Amino acid sequence: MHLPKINFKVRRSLVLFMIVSFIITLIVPGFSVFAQDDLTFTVGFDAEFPPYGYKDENGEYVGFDLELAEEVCRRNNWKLVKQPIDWNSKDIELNSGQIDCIWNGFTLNGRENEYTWSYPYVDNSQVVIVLNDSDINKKSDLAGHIVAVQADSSALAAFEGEDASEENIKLAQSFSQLQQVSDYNNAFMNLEAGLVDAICMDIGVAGYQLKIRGDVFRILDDSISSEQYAIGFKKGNEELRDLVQAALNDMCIDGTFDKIAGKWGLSNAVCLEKSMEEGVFPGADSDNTGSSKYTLGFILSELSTGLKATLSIFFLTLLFSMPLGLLITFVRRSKIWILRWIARIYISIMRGTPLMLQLLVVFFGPFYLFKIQMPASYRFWAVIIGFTLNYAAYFAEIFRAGIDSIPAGQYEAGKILGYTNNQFFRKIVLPQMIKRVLPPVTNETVTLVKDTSLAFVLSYMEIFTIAKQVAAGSANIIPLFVAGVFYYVFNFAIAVIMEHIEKKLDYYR
Amino acid sequence: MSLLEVKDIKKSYKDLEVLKGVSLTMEEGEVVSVIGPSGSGKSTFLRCATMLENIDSGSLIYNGSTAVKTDANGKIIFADYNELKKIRSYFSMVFQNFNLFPHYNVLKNITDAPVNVLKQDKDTAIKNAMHLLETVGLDGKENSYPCELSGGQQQRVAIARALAMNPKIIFFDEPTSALDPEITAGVLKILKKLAQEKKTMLIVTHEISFARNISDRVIFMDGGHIIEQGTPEEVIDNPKNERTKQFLNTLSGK
Repeated sequence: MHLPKINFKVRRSLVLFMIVSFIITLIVPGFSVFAQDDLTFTVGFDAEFPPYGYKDENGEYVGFDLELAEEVCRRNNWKLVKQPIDWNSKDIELNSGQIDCIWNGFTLNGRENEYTWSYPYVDNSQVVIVLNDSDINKKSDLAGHIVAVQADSSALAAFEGEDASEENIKLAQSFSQLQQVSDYNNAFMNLEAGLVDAICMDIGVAGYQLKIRGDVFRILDDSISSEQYAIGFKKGNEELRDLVQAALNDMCIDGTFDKIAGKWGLSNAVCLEKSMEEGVFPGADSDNTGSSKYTLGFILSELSTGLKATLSIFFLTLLFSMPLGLLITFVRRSKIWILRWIARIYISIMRGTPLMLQLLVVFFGPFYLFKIQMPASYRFWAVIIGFTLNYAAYFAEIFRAGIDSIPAGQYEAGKILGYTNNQFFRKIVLPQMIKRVLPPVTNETVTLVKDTSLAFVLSYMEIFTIAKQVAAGSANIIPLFVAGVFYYVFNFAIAVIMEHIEKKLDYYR
Repeated sequence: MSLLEVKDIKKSYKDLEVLKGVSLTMEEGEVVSVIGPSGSGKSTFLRCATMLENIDSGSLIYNGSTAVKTDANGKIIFADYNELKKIRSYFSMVFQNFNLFPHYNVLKNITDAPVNVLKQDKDTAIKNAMHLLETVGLDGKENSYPCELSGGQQQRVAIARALAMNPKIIFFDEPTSALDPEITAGVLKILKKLAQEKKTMLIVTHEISFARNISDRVIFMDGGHIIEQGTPEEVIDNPKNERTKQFLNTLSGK
């Protein structure tokens, strides 16, 4: 069929419209007509907290809490969204509406007034885990040892929180160190490697971890404290809380709740039935916000300890990685092919794998590869070594480009004039190379300032890690903002200094 | 004893044989120009004579000291490190592209090697350099940086730098090829002055009339061979070889 031209144009714009609509439907959630009666319920959880919420061997997010949430959603005809979150950012996630609740073995004690709570459904205690052959047998034996807790966990709160008991505060002071780690897997690796002597954690988690990790570890009979888990909603969101609680109550009455608890081995820990009888929501009698101690002065003084750590990572990394980078450049330019290849492979690996992974390998490698027990101070040096090895690879390539950019004619002139290789490099190549590599070195330096925040994977308390923790504790983003200002000001100063040096070297081309 | 004896040197780059056996002897005070078309091997010859390139076979003797020779198996043998160091001090070179050190000012470009390589006293080196700058007509420029100088001025600094090493022989590799014609004259004038002072010089050049003017001997190279050599009158004015004639005719536009 032969279509008139005008019609063809109309048809074409119609097709175009349909394609655009289709794309919009695909990319904009909720736009689709198929989704209109789907109410979502987003649960925030720490994906490394079995058995409450974690990633199983099939890569699925599963756990006691997530299964409860699924059942609640089924009964309310909601769509469940499982949102793994960084534990330090949980309050920001909740307050900004990114998640509807925190449901993840979430201890309410000490946090009564910071959230709107469901009834407590699990009673939990904080217990101490040690290596089987450890000589620690009771709480008081912990004196002089390094004890690990998860950052912003209830174990930490039991030792240092506002509501920590006198006894626990004293106990914590007797430790040689209270080491915060980012997740439990990390904590167990630390314990196994002898980098910490004990871990303090929730009994439910402890039971699960010991079951999957075998009998290398044991739990002390003494517990640190007794606590309860509940679901935390944004402060004031009673409406949603009541809907969830009603579904939970139904589940408790018809036995579904106990069945699920049994499945996850938590039958002894659940306490929903008792809470229902009492019928009191935690913190309901008070509207104190509980964040009064987080003044700007407090935030700044907390961050300043992290600032020192960040600055020492920065300066020590620069100090060590530049000479090492130059050395690698020499090896990379060596006349011996095997050395050249070693340097190439080194650079390729350092640039081709995440710095975060390299830090973990440097820290845990000595134990897991060679069974060497490292002292506690190794945590800091592992950060420095990891950063240095990584940045040296980048600097090596920058220096190599700088050396290669010096014209061959100058080498020939140097040879004719009789300079030794050493003299020629020192007097002719190096000064010109420095000028040429300044802009890329500035780039790397600025990146290094920001990369220092990666030290958190080794639980080294630099400014960003502390900012995240203070932000979590105070439920606002000011600490993060302050940290951001610090990074910016620091980098601004670096840019100014480097620009000044560049100008100084601008007397020749 | 000759100042320089080059015997039957050969040089190939992969399959291309650039020098097919070149021999040359130079006496003290002699000025020799090498002319020839592009690709004739004259620059390679210079680079081999100064050991910037390793020869494939042949030998190189400076002032009676053997720098490189070929053994019975055709293997190249260099003199030992200290001997080579001594031999290198016999000669210097001026490049087509000057190759000054851009981060050093004029004075430092001239004095750095005398002070650090020859271990000259710094004051002596500076005095000597100021004198040389006067010779090349650049007095007052000692504190300038190469990038602040014209091409001709840079080349004159390069000549002063070569002279400061007090060599027995100076090689010039097309010293005016990178310069504008009107600047060329100034550089050639300095070379002429050096010739009159009986400096031993080997100059690879395209400037035929200049070569005739200052040379004791002119060498015409083509295809990796020395085709013809003799006084300027013999080679330039009355060439015997057909290829020499052809080359000179092309240059003069006949």
